[in-house]
Amino acid sequence: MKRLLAACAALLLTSGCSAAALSNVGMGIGDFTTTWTIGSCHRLDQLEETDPLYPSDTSPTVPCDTSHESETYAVVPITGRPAASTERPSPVWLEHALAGACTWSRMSAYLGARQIDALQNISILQVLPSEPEWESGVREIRCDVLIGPRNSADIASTASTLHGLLAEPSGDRFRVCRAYGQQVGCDQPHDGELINAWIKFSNAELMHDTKMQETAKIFAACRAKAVGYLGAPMSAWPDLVMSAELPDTPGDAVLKAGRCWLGDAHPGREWTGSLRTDKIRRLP
Amino acid sequence: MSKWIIRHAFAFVLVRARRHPAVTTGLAWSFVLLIRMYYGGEIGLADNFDGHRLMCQLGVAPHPFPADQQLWAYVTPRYDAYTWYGESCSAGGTGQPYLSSAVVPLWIAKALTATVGNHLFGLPGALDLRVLGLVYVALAAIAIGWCAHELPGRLWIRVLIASGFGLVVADSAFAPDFISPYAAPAGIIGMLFLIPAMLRFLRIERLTWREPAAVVLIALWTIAAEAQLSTILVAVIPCLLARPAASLPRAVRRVPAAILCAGLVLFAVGYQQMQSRWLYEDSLYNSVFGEVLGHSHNVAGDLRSLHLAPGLATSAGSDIVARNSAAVGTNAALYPDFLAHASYSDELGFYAAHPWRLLGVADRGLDGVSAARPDYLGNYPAAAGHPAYAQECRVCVVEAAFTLAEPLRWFVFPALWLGALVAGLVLAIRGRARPAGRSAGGVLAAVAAATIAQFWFVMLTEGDNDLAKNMVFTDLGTCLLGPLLIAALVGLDLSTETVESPELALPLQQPEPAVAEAMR
Repeated sequence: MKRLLAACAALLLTSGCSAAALSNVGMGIGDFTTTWTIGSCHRLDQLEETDPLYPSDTSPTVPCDTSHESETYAVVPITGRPAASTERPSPVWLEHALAGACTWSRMSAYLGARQIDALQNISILQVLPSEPEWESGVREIRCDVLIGPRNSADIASTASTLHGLLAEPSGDRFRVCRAYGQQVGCDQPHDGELINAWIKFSNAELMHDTKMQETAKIFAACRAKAVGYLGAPMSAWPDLVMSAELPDTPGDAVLKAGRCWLGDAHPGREWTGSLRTDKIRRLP
Repeated sequence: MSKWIIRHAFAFVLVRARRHPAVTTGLAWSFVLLIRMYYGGEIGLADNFDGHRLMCQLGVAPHPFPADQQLWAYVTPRYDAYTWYGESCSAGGTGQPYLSSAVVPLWIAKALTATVGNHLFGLPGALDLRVLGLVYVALAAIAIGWCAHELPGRLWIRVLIASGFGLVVADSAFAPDFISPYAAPAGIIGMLFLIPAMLRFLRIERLTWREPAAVVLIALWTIAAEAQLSTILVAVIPCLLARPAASLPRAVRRVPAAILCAGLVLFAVGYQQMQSRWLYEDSLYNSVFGEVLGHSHNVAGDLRSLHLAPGLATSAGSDIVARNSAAVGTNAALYPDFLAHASYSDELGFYAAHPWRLLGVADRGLDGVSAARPDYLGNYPAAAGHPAYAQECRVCVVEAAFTLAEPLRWFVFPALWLGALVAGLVLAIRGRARPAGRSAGGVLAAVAAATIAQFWFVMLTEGDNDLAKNMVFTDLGTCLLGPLLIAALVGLDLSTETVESPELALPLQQPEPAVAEAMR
């Protein structure tokens, strides 16, 4: 009995001495402090680390020339009702309430992309203050550009900065191309490249227009876009043709838009790399 | 010569086995459970994402699996070392930890994986749930062996009843939990250990500090396994209060037990308070929008009764991440008010004002009990070659029996629970003068009461969300009632015999010197 009491006393004493250490029992390590620096790079190797249910990231930053998955492009304030709460609100509600706080246009600018560039495997990660930070009054959102794909088998990473990446050929992996009908990055062999232009169709147009009429509308809208995309008239590429992706179902808002692709006039001929560079890239 | 060796070895083992029936029973069941868990390929329970909050505390992350593998279709036992920072390891990212006693077996499994697992079995990960399965098998075997020691009756009867507990644990409704990243197996083991601990506490004539300490420690473990297991207090508190301290003056005999009970209640309340806000929010959402409003014919009226905004009506029946969820849909503006005003006390008040609604709640709950186990979680690793979400059925008596009972669920389960409660109380009271009777009867009544409490706790805090998984402890308690009823009947039979000492009820135990002297 005495030994039991002694053991209990020792346990209490030890736990009392290390109360600070025990305060984070069951949690991840570190000091729960977010890095708010634009241009900082972050290693987020697990799906949970970018799940909106886990809104903070207090991992130490890593040099941008080492493997990382996200990069901070902006820090914006939290305003309005969410900011008024003394304790950090429900993560599910916060995700909805703060949707769009980090803008796509600002991220595109950071990446060196323009609005006309169709991108893939790029998304915005909104990082919120940790609970202790929130309680101490921090009301900021860290806007990260997060690269993909991210799934149970593969978490994509990069070992170079994403700043201005889309202006370089090394950013071609994030541009949208297609090979035999399948979407691929433009760093892969492909036979078509997408322009980020959504040509909207009304329900009436979808009901009554023929495919020929839909195609004509897409071409008319895309011609100017293609010039903007390529940075020169299409005549500079004698073998380049435009193809229309027709809108699909009338009920779906996304599918109610048509898109345009640039492809080679010779079917089956593929090329690698994006047409959208500072210099005119010739088809093979 | 070889026949002579075999015959003598067999005789030696038999003699030893008879001398140490508890050890023998435990060893035998560890063997049975090992075969059941691993022979023909290991079985377990797939992770439905709930495993992260517990596993991350061990500094591990799941080993990657093919992107085209369907979610939750297969068991993923391998975990690799990973450093989690801050709230990325917490209960739902809320900045609060997920605390469970289940972390202890996991730490043991991690240490064993790094040593035995890596070097002996060639397991490459930092933590392998197959090693965790070994830890739980060992714990279950010890509990079963201890049951064989504490149950009333002759040796073969004790072994038989303890084997009944073994069969329950080995069933496909419970055994797959042992190879899973959840906290449930710690609760299963806790409930199993409580039986011999309470049997001993109620049976033994002269209590020392060990018996109440064992009951209290096991109760603490079990309560700390999962928040819903606070209901075992319904079983433990009456047991503790039933044994006054004989060495103290009559007026204060129950004071030590009362202090222990108060401590347990405080611990349970404290543990509930320490649960993450996110888990509370998710459960409250399910119980209000899923259960109360989701099965309502008058959503507007029910919202009024719950003192909630009428605009939340369009979210009736939703879960928290659904498109029409109050947290993310068109009602999102009302959601902070919901969180500020909704509470379980309001929900209880609602049911007090609308008691007939409890019939529907009970019906869905009984349906969940009948399901016996979740069918959306696979039991095999992908490499085993079984189809996605395949359910193993090496010992699936419980599922078969409960499925058969499903059409009669309104009779079978309440009759079993209430029958066991009444029978246990009657047997304990009738045999209260005799240790064997009061202990077995008392434990039967206690487990029955805890099972009923568990059923209602789940239904009132979670509603009909993921019932097949959440009802695991109700199912376990229900299954344990069978062997306990036999034990209580055996105890009653013994208590009607003229016995001078409780030790006579345990024929193979060595009697205490004083008792042996008295017997002579």
